[in-house]
Amino acid sequence: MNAESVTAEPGTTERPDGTLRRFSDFAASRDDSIRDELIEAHIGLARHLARRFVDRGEPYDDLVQVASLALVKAVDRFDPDRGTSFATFATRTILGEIKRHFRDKAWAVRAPRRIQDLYVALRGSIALLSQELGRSPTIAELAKDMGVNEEEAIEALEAGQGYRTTSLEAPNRQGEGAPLSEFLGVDEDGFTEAERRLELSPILEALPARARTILQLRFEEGLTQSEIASRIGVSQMHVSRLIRVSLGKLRDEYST
Amino acid sequence: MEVSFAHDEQQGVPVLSVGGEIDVYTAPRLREHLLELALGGTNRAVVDLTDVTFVDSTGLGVLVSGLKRFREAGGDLVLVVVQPQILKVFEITGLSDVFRIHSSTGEAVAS
Amino acid sequence: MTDEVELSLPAKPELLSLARLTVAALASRADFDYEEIEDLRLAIDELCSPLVGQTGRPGQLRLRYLWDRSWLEVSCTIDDEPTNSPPGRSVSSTRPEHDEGSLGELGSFGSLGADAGEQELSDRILDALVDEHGSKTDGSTVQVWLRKRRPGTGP
Repeated sequence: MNAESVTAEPGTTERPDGTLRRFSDFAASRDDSIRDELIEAHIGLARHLARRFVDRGEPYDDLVQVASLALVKAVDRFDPDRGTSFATFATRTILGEIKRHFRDKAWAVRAPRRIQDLYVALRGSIALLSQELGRSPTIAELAKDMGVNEEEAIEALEAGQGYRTTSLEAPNRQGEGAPLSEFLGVDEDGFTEAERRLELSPILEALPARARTILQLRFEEGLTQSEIASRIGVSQMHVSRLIRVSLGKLRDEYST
Repeated sequence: MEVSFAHDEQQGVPVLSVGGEIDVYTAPRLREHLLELALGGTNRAVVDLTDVTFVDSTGLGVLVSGLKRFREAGGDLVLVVVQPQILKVFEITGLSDVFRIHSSTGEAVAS
Repeated sequence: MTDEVELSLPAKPELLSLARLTVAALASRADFDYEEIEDLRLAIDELCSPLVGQTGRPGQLRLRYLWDRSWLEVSCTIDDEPTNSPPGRSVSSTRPEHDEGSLGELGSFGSLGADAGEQELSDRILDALVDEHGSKTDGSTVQVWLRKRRPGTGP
């Protein structure tokens, strides 16, 4: 006896238990209540699959949502005539979506947190050195100032590409080494994922709110110190001092 | 390894209580007990898996065979599952949608 | 950086619980939580039971448990004389007898009958519980394996 005999031979399995049969009903009617019933009947599977991935950097709620949406997709697309069980089809669909979710997230994270934080500190260093030297610092000077090796400095800069600051857009090209602007690129809306994520950097978060605002205005929005001063209602000297102190703090935070 | 079986009856419904581990070694014994249940005269029975600590695909297969027999006779074989890990196995295989599963024998008998 | 434990036991079904016990002990040391340990016990059982079958096989069931920082891997094979069973299919042919088509009628499974139905259950269980699993045949020797990521070690 095979699956077809469920409908062909009366008396074998009259009771409405067969998942396949409900899928046939659903395929015929596209009735929402059958759909909901099918989803609910298999939501445990979705949750179990989601739970398996819980230790890998994504919150459980997000994973459950991905898995649940994948289950809905599976219910909508399953063809009961194809010969595989719904559990098989659903498992594959759900696992596929969960893995895709991780791949998408990995794309957005271009660099590990350590590199992101180094980038923030490097930015501070760039600003300070630029002021002291009257030109953009070279990689060698930056690396020396930060106490990291040049490869790390380059890695961090590449990871954090996209910052706009006036001091870097028009580098004074005296001094050795390549200008830093070569490492920086800006995408269409002027920001990159790295920049958005800098808002979450624990080092930045540890700064007092106003200092953080000032740094963001200066380095994300490219305002001059005078513009910042008038926007927040303090003197330009105060802004200058706050920037200096905050960048110094960032640098210290990183190197401990 | 250790598996136990007990036959009982509640409100006229035969109840087979299983305990321990159901794997490829112990599944044949489960099969025998399910057969015994099927020969008991009623077409409705309950298998109480409350004290089962392990079940694999072999065990599931035996339960499915039993279910088929009861449903062919126009009846049903209803399960009691309490341990989350056991319920999980039914859910990941889609069998939680095939069997009627209850969380207590009382419920299962009354259903 | 890889640690390894090898377990060799007679390929008898009553001894599969030893394989389960061993993986539970190792999984615990590899920082898996309670649910994951139970998952691995079941996964190892699903992996090895077909090799042993309901009646057992002459020879030894050999298990290798390997782990490094990120993964736990278990592979399993029978140390035996080559049997007449063809590779691959021997896995499903050792399942206990069932009424033919017993699973097919319930509508949740394909129409292929008991063995394929149970094999499918087994695969679904492995898919759900571990990250990777598979089998290789080397002549007439079947080796099955599974891998599971250790907790906190990335996607």
